[in-house]
Amino acid sequence: MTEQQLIKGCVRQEHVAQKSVFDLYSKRMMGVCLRYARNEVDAEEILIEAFCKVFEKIHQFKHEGSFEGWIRKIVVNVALKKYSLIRFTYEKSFNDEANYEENYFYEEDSLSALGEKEILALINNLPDGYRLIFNLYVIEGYKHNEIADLLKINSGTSRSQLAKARNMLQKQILEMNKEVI
Amino acid sequence: MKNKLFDDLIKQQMLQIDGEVSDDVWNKISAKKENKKRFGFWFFNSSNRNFILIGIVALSIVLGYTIFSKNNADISSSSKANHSNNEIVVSTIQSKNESPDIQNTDAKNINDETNNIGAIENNNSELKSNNENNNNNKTNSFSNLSRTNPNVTSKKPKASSQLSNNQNLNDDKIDLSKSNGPKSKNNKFKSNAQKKVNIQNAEIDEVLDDADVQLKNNIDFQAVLLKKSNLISLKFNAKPLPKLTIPCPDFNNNENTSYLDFYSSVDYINRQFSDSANSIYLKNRNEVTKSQLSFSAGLRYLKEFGSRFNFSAGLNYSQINEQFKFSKGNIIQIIYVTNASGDTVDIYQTESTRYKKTYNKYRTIDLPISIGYGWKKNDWDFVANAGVVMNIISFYKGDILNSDLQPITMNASALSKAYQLKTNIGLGFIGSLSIVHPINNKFSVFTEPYFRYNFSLMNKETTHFKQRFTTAGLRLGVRMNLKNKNQ
Repeated sequence: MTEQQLIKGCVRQEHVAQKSVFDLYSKRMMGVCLRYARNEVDAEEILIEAFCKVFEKIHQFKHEGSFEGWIRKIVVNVALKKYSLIRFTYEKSFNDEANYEENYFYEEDSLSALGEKEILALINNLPDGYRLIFNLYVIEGYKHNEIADLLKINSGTSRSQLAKARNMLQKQILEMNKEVI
Repeated sequence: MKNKLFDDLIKQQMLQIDGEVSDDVWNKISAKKENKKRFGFWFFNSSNRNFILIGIVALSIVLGYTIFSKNNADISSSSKANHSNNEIVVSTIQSKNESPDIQNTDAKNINDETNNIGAIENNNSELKSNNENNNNNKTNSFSNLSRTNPNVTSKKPKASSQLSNNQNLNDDKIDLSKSNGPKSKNNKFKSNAQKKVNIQNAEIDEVLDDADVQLKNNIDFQAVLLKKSNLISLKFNAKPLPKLTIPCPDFNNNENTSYLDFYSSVDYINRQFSDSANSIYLKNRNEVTKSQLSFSAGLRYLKEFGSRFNFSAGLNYSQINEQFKFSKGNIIQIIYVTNASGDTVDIYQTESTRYKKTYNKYRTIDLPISIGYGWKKNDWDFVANAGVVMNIISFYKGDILNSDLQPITMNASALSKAYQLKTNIGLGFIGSLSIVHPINNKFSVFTEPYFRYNFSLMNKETTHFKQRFTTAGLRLGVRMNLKNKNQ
């Protein structure tokens, strides 16, 4: 079945077509979920919710972009909604007095030496706010003003949270490399 | 390393990542889709179905009874309308000796649809009048005596009979055999004499006890009679009395009334926690959450039966609020400072605290059904109510602690999780005391202290931690009387 046929089948709420779409995209989307979620259980919840939404709203897909991109957007939105309860003002995972603007001296090899799972684990360990903004900016390619609109924060907050997230990641990578040494 | 390069490297690695998806995920998606497809939401989940069906049946019975009662009322109304046509006409007629033709007769207003009134007419078909009283010019006859209440129907034959039997018209004879309906218009009467007939019968008062008393005194009946070939013609110059209405006794006072209540309440919640396995969890759960003022609102239909009882059913929304305040202190962070060659040049330690504060909301939509017993004191009505409250759906928002004592979002859809709550908490008991004060014939206000106890726990059976919320609140509301629409 082609992608178009699958979409048409899903519009008609055909179980076989829905299962095929799930089989085709679930692993990739689980990767997205894992990046946004705190842990695997949450990631699975996001995936379930997102695919339910995909099958429910599939008639709204206008064939203007890629189908995978459309599904991915839904997954991201579900993940953001899940953590939208978090108020950045209430959550301070680390002492703000720590100097996140400190320059760390990395070598490219130090990052590439780490595997995908290690990097994913580091991202998962980021506080919710940092993790969401880091994902949106670095991996999804959103601009700060777009992130600000999505998360209902101001763009300055987005910038500072990104900087902190990036520094925290760099620091953790540094530590991991040191342990290896 | 520049930020841009760092970002690109991370992105490159992360875009390649795929996750392992367990087979169970698709089953959960399918189950969720099926639930939505069935009724849009929870409605016909197997656990809810019986409660919903009972609720629907109960509501149907109440509505059916209400409609049936209304139909009866409509029939009574139409009966009333029919009777209103059956008017007894009493008019004051002035006759002139010289006038040979009938100018007017109110006999036309006597409707022949009423047998009872026909009986009057038959009994009066031959009435003797006194020829010696020809000089009197005034004739009093019956004027319109509209019956306003259908319930007097059973009284009518008696009333009519008594009326006819007791009309003492002496020796004068009146033939009213053609007096029914418009036909009586065509009767030609000739007047030989005018008679003044005073109907003096106290029994009219007894029967028409609510009638205008003056009517009896004004029945000063003057008739001019002419007997010719068994036909009496009367010559009238009539001046009808103003129409009088006889209010009839209301025999329908016992009809039960129905009401519609709208209310909202402020609720106090008593939380009961227990944990069979993990006392540390119980301790932490008590520490991080705090009960807050809650509220509920709803509407209900109330139907009286018997003289003191009522039945009520409605829809109730309730929201229990709880503050979740989590803080985890003494998070120690060790910072290693290294130089370009990777040697550690400094180590320092920072200490921090993690805070999280959210407001949990436990929401339920319920179907309360109760029976009430009422009594009255001065202008105040008191009703003691007791019944069951059937939960239709429960949904939650906020955070609770997971088994690792970390904050986690409440999500009732994740059925696999041990700490999750039920989406339907089943039956509960509800008791209340309504204190009602009328504002006017249509509306009343009421206050109602109430108590609700849920029979089952909020958590799923598999969890070791159990919680039950018991509610005590004070409702304020408005009661609308559904019978007095025009008042």
